[in-house]
Amino acid sequence: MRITCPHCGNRSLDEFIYLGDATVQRPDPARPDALAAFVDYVYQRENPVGRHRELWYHNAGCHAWLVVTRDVRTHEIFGVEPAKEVSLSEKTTGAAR
Amino acid sequence: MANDRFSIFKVISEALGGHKGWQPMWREPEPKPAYDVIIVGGGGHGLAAAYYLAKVYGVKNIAVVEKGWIGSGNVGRNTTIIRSNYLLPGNVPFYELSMKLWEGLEQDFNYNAMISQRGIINLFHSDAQRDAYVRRGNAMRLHGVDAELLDAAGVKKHLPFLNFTNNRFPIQGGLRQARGGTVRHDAVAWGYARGADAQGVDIIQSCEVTGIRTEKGRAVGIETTRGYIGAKKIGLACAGNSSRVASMAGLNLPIESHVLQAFVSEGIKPFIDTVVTFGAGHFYISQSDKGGLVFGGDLDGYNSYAQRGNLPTIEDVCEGGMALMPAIGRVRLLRHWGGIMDMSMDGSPIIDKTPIDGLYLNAGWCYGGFKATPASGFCFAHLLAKDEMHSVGTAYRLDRFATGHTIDEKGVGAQPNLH
Amino acid sequence: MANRTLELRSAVPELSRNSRIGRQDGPARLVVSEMTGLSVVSIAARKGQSGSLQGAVKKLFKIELPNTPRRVEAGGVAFLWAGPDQWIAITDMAVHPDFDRELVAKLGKFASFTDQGDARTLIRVSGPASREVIATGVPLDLHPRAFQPDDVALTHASHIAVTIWQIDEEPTFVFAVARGFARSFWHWLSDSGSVHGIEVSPGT
Ligand SMILES: Cc1cc2nc3c(=O)[nH]c(=O)nc-3n(C[C@H](O)[C@H](O)[C@H](O)COP(=O)(O)OP(=O)(O)OC[C@H]3O[C@@H](n4cnc5c(N)ncnc54)[C@H](O)[C@@H]3O)c2cc1C
Ligand SMILES: [Zn+2]
Repeated sequence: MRITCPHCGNRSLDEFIYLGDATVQRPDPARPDALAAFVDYVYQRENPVGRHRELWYHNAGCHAWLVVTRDVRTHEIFGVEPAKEVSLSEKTTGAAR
Repeated sequence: MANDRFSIFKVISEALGGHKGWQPMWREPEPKPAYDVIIVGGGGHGLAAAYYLAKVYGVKNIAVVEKGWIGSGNVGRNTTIIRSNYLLPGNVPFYELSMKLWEGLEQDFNYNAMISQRGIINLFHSDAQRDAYVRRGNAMRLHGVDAELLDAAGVKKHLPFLNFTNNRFPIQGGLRQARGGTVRHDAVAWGYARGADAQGVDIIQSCEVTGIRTEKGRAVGIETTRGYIGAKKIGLACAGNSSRVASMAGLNLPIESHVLQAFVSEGIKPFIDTVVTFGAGHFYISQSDKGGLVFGGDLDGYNSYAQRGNLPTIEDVCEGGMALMPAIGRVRLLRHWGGIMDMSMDGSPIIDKTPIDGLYLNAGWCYGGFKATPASGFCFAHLLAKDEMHSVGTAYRLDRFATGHTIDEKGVGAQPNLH
Repeated sequence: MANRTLELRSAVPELSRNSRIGRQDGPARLVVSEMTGLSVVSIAARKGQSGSLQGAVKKLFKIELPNTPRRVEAGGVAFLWAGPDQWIAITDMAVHPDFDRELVAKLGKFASFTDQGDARTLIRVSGPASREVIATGVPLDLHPRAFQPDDVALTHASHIAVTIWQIDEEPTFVFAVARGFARSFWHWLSDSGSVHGIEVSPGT
């Protein structure tokens, strides 16, 4: 498995560090059900068997956080986006992907 | 039942009779329309649970449903290490029960699982690491578990060929548990399967569960590739596929699936007569009776349902091995493979009821569930039979993440790839 | 009190003298030297100022800051891409002794500049075995089809973070390594290269 960093190009896996599921969203602490929502956010994972959107960090490269869409059965990668852009576009559209 | 007891007389008479009288280890029954208890997942934990349910708790009408074949999951993929050298109070009594069950297992299920208490030595390479192991050793001894602190000379007596002149990772000593060791992993699956079958348990292979049927919030049966099977109680013991199967009942678990690789070298003469773990990297090794070096290291580190990993982890494991024992540098690697680990968010397992009546969960074993097989099966059987947790496993609740009672041996928080 | 001055010292003493390492017969197939006497400054554009910075640099240095992993050079100053909105500038210390302050004075509005002169060790590697040796620790394809003069990569060499770039087709590569790791880097490079024979010539 290799990851094509949008900044650096196609790179070896050992340049990257994995964080996890990129779809979890930090809840608003002011929500009335904030406690339960935070438990979900911190601990519960969908852990799907097909496509997974996940956060990787290009540690031995450009130091950018990336959102990678990958099939967790085959390691096939469908897309790599800078996390910064994903988060900015979510802020402007208000949509969580 | 298909099998008869193994004994020295049986072995001799079969030898004289040309080995024509051996029977299959277990039957291959068609699924019945319904069972009192169905266990999903014919790995070590599912089979052990069925065995103890029938034998100790007297439940008779049981099936174990397995999508592949017995031994195809992690029970046949692990590096075979058993130990009970845990630190936290929620864990120590449980793993010690497991060790005690291992100690009597071969007699109990009348099967040679090659249980070998050859000892395990966890090396430390710094003062801070030494302090942590002293603390762990004391915690073990307070719970009545054997633990022995070795200095460098003490380690050298057991393992003279380690690299004791490595300036970067000096070996200062090790924590030894003499009762730790290794067990022939697939023999554990076969022994429990055979033992359960002898108690009347139906072991149904090549039968994948595709759905869990619920009525009014109660689980009533499973959809499978071999048809619907009804059940009064359903226990899930699906290791790396726990999230998938639980989701069939609408449950989201505090679990991520990750791949862990294992390695075996070509066979060499007897060399390592214990289990040893490197403390300055992630590397553990023992030698099988066939002579192969059996070793492993870290998870690959990313979510995976593929039973194979990637090269950087192989490099990392081999570097750990070379730093610890350069003598193995010219031994050739024979095979390596991967297994899917049910990595829980605190690195500890879950044995509990679920919010759905009649549905019980055994999961979150991370990469340390092989040693737990007997106690996990025993406690799961207790839970399924009595609807309450066995006293040694009360910490393994599903709701502990919400209540703040996580059991985090490594202290790394909700980051499964770091446990 | 005695007058004390700071003395510039290499992080890798082995690179400060002529030597032949490893295989002794035939010409050395790997040539290594430390590059000294350079000003190295890291540049990070301020939030939203990357475009203005690039415009200002173009005016001042007659050069386009690269937005891909490339190196550009004009008038004795080289700029290397170093990540999104980040660069490294390298020039002759004798000509620009206070290069970071010079850049702050001219471009301080748009970016932060940090002197890296004492923080990075620059090691030049050439010779016919260079690709083969580098491949033992760097997970990059350095075949001319994939990596050419003025290409830059942020990567690692035997687990040590490095910036690597190629300066000619001979091929000659340069590694920028954190000073504290430079000796470990040399340990790897000399170990991997010794079968080919290494010629070390002191800093240039
Ligand atoms: C490489 C490696 C090294 C390890 N090393 C050690 C070690 O040294 N010591 C240690 O203590 N532990 C170790 N472990 C961990 C240990 O092997 C596991 O934690 C343990 O085996 C998990 O329990 P199990 O045996 O029941 O799992 P498995 O054998 O995986 O059983 C789960 C079963 O569920 C079945 N299943 C899944 N989905 C379905 C479905 N839908 N329908 C029907 N059946 C289904 C699977 O086919 C599988 O057979 C290691 C694991 C690996 C992979
Ligand atoms: Zn990158």
